[in-house]
Amino acid sequence: MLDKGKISGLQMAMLLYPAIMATFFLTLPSSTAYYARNDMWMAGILSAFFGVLVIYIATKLHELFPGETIIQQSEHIIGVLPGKVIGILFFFYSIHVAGLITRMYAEFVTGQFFFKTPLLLIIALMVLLASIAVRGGIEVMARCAVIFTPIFIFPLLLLLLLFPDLELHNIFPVLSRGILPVLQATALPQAWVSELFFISFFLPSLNSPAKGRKWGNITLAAVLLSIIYVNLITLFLLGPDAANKTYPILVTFRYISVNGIFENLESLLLAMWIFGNFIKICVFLYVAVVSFTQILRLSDYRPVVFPMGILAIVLSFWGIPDASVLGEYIRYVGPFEIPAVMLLIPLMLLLIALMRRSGTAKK
Amino acid sequence: MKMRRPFRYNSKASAAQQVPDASQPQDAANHQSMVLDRDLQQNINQIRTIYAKSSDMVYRSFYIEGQTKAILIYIDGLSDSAGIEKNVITPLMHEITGEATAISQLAERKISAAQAIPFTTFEECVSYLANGLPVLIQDQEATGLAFGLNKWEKRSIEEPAAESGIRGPREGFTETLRINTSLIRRIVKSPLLKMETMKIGGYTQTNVVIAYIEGLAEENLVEEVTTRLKRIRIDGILESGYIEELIEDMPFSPFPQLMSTERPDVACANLLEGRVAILVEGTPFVLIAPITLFSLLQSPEDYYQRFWVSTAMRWLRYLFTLISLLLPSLYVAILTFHQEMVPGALLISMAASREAVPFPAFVEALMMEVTFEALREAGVRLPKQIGSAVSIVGALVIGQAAVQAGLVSAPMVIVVAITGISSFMIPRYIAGIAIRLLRFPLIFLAGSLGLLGIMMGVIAIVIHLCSLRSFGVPYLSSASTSKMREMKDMLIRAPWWMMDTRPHLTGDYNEYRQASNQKPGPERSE
Repeated sequence: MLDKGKISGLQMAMLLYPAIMATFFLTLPSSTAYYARNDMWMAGILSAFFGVLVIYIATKLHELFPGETIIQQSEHIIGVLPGKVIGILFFFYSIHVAGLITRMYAEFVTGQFFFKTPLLLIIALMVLLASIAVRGGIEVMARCAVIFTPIFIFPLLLLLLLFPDLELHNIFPVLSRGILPVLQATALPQAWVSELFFISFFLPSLNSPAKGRKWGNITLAAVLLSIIYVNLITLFLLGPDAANKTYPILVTFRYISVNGIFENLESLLLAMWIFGNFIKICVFLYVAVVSFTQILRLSDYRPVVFPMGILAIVLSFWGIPDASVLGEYIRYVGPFEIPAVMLLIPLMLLLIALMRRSGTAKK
Repeated sequence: MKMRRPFRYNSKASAAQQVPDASQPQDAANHQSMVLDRDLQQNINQIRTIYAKSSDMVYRSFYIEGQTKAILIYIDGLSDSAGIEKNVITPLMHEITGEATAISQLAERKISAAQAIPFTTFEECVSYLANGLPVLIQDQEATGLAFGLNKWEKRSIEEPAAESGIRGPREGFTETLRINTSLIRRIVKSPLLKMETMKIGGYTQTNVVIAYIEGLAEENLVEEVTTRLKRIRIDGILESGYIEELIEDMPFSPFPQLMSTERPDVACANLLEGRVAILVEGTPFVLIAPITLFSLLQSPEDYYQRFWVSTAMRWLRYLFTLISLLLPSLYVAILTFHQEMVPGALLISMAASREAVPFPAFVEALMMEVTFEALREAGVRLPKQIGSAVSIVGALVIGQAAVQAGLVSAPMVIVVAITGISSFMIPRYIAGIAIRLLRFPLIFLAGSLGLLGIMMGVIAIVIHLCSLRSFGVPYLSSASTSKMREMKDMLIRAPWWMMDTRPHLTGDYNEYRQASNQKPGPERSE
């Protein structure tokens, strides 16, 4: 591994949780409500299957090829050249998604809080900070995550202040339109949960790699609980109408008011969103940088970080004219693109690896 | 085409080898390695040349038992002249025993000074003289004797001014190295307490002591501290601050990476946790390495008071540390960009008080913060007699008058006052200053980007703190670790019967500090 730093299982979980949830909180309720209406809370439960699967694939591959990321593993499994192709695919995917996330973050910040601030400034500042953290190495990222992730999670608990306004009967009738809409609604959560495959890039840095699967599953459980929690609160407060809001969570935060003093908490959401996205962009940038250096077998990844950051800035503008295109991309392309890279390719690699292994064992 | 000469990476290294060490006195080489001669006159001449034009040198020549010529040399004011007379000159001159007068026997039979150290080179001779030890050289002997009769004016042990507390020992370190080492030795009596001495500074030849407890401090930590100290090439060390800046890990960081303390109990507590103390001659400030951010936020009193009180105080301190870093910038950001965050009634009263103020909140905050820093700095330098006058004028000017004149709003004065007080809640003055300095870039960020700017600033500070290390120990190690046990001394101050383990610094360590299961209670038997 290029990075000599070691992180613990909890630190990995702290890195991965915002890496999945940061962009997800805002769009999740509206997109699930769009299909499943008042059954939206079930969407998260079904995606557990995909999460368990990708974690199993990543950890199994790491058991077969310890100390390696998917980039090096694929070269061992299907040969150098085809392996490099898959590596390049991972690299392009991660840097492309890093750009997308940065854009989503910037669209939210400019769309809701800073109407006149140029997008480029907000994007560039964030990518600069993320690049500095990535350049500091995985230990620095992990320590930042331990500090920021609790701050990222804390505002969610404030949603409980809405308790008097929640209308629990919004949940009924359960499954009135059959299971199909729920399955459709699962499309997006399952894609996001597939991003847990990124533990492949962190397993080599774990101080006890054997615990990787355990902590992966803990992260998955935390993610699923958050998805269900957020979906339920939105459902109880807004009803199936959540589908018509761009950022339903923002609406719920605006709704919080205790005694007329404790109100207008959307700035807290902004803070949480910034911290969460910082970790998320760090993780994606780190993955992009590591895959790039491993494809080219460079001895050090630090010189690549800042150029990669500039690439992420470029990709956050390239082909995305405005927020609605971005939203459509996430809603319609995301559910297929993410699992294709994160689930299907690794699954295929694992099957080939297992077959080859059993083949050599017979000989 | 003319090619540019490639950059030579080794140019600096080779230059350093050729040029003599700039921190060393140029004539040092002349007498350094010379050995004492058997001829007394030649030795005297040599010392007179070394100490030419020094009016404070005393050369006292006499005959031992009326036979052998000898000379006693010392620096006036550094040595105990009554002691020299009583313990050295009187027995040598007047007690005629007729026994052999070889230098080795003199020390054993005649001289009643507590310390008598033989030496053979001029280098040793000069260093003894400089430290106030009188030196005896005798005819027909190539060995001299130095006596432990140094004595000079020193400050007595007082209560440290910058680190006062309600409960705890009141002794403070002084400027004298020996007193400081004795203060530590008095607390930690085990012979495992080691004190290694080295001299730093070409001209000042300052004695520096590395103190640690063998078996608790890691060997490679002690080794690392020693190598970094040995690397120093400087003309003089006047205060431990010199050393601090020359051995720290990240020289451009605003945060202190070594702790300085004036209190022996703090130094010993740190020694017991496996850290290393660096004592420097001529300053009461002892350096401690490695440290974390949270050790700067802990007061020694935390460990002497009841743990409930200490835990509460610790949290109060954390809260006000954050306030001293963030409050002015949050105020600026909210007033400039996020008025909706303020509850309606409060917003109206704040708007009313700001109505007459001509400046934007950003300028107002900057103005007031700079004024406050100026008052604080002036307060440090002012003679005590004028201090109270200035504080009254300052309070009136930046408080009442400025508000009435419509220069600043009343809420701003409150914000600045709270921020100012809260930064003094940080027990380590130097850490408080670092945080106060970071407040200014944050105000700039808040004035230009609002809450987003503050978040960016906070993220930048946290990245910096996460990458900062003090002698290999991560600066935030107790906060960003995943071990709950390490957090026990950060989130709470656990009662002593629960603090079974030492903090984990790096690598292997002596884990347990006390017997476990010591929770007291009436039902406890022997």
